[in-house]
Amino acid sequence: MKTSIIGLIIFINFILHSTLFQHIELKNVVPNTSLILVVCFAINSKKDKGAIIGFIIGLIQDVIFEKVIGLNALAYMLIGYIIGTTNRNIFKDNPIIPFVFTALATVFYYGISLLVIYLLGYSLEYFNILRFMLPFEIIYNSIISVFVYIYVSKIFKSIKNRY
Amino acid sequence: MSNKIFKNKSVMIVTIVTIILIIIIGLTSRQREEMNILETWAGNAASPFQRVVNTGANIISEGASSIFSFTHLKKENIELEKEVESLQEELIKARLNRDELEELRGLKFALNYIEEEDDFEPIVANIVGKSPSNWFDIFTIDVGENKGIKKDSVVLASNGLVGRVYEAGENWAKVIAIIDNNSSVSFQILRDRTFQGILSGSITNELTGYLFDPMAEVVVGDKLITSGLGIYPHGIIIGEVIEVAMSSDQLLKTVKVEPYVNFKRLNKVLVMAPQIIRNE
Repeated sequence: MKTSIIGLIIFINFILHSTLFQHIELKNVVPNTSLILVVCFAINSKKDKGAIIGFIIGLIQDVIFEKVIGLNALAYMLIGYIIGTTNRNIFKDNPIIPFVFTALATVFYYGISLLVIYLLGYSLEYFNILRFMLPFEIIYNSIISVFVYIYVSKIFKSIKNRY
Repeated sequence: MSNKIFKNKSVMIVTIVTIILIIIIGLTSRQREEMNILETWAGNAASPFQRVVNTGANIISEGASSIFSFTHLKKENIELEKEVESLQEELIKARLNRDELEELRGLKFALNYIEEEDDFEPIVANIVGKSPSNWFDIFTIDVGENKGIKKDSVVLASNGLVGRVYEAGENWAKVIAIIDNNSSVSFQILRDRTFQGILSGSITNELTGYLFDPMAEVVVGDKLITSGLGIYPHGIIIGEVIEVAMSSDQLLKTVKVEPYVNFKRLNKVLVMAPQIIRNE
């Protein structure tokens, strides 16, 4: 039951992220809803689930869109796992939590992806990306994550109450 | 005790998967000849859904933008009328040129020249999804190998060059736009074909590039077309120069170019099969 709901959300997010959300970009930045979902699921679920969900979301995204396969899967899996290991010690009802975690996760995602891309020898404007895109995306992602988090934790709570 | 073992176990699994992923990244980072089965299968499964949602999203966004741009329409109409007038003049000139060309072709045939035929057959494709990544400008289209599209097919829009096919699946293909950071196009200036150079993408929607000849006379407003070096055929329009500068060491003339294609509002593209280099 729970798995099928999560799977459905992942699938819908993937479709929307590549189509509808491309229209709401600001300053060349599209909010990374996949990352937000990984963070919100990882906070709410048990520790290993976060890593698995991150891995699946990342792999789907890599296979269909990216030139290099495994990059997003790696980043999302590590994010899911790290958040999963810390989530016993935090208050889950506070809306600051998803905000802070998403901000940190965005920084982490940028760090690890840009490092791998750099090591693979792709030419990117690393300096401009860090200067113009990163601060904006942190804020954009974090604000959206608060709303997504409220909805996701509702789903998890209702499932818990039912059983 | 058992808890500790369990914890170590999950750490171990994550580490192993990380190492495997790094190996996969290394293996797939180079340009491949063909997609693997997983990629083809996933793309085939997802592209119909993306197509439906994307069509809906485009209709909504076009509707919304047309409401807001209502005041611009009148201005645009006047501009378009002017453009039609100038185009009609050009058309007359082009007809005269065509007659001349026919004559010359006839002469060529008489002199037994070998005819070079451009047998491009453009295929219309819809864009079904854009890469969620903010760094790469990659999108997927809804035609693939079933319509004869291969790696390095050239992708065009009605008003200019869009990019090239990176990988083709059965009924879908990944396209790299020219505004992608890793893409580069060789260009020449429409006014004078001796001025050539190379353009590459950036994180914004502009192209930056440099000219081979630092003394080349380039001014703002110059139109650029592809020069025929590399995979893009000669004579496809790219965009307009919006800034000219010398590089900091005064050795290269750099240009900033705005492409004619609006990559944000792109829905339909034309795809042409790659140029075949014949060795005779």
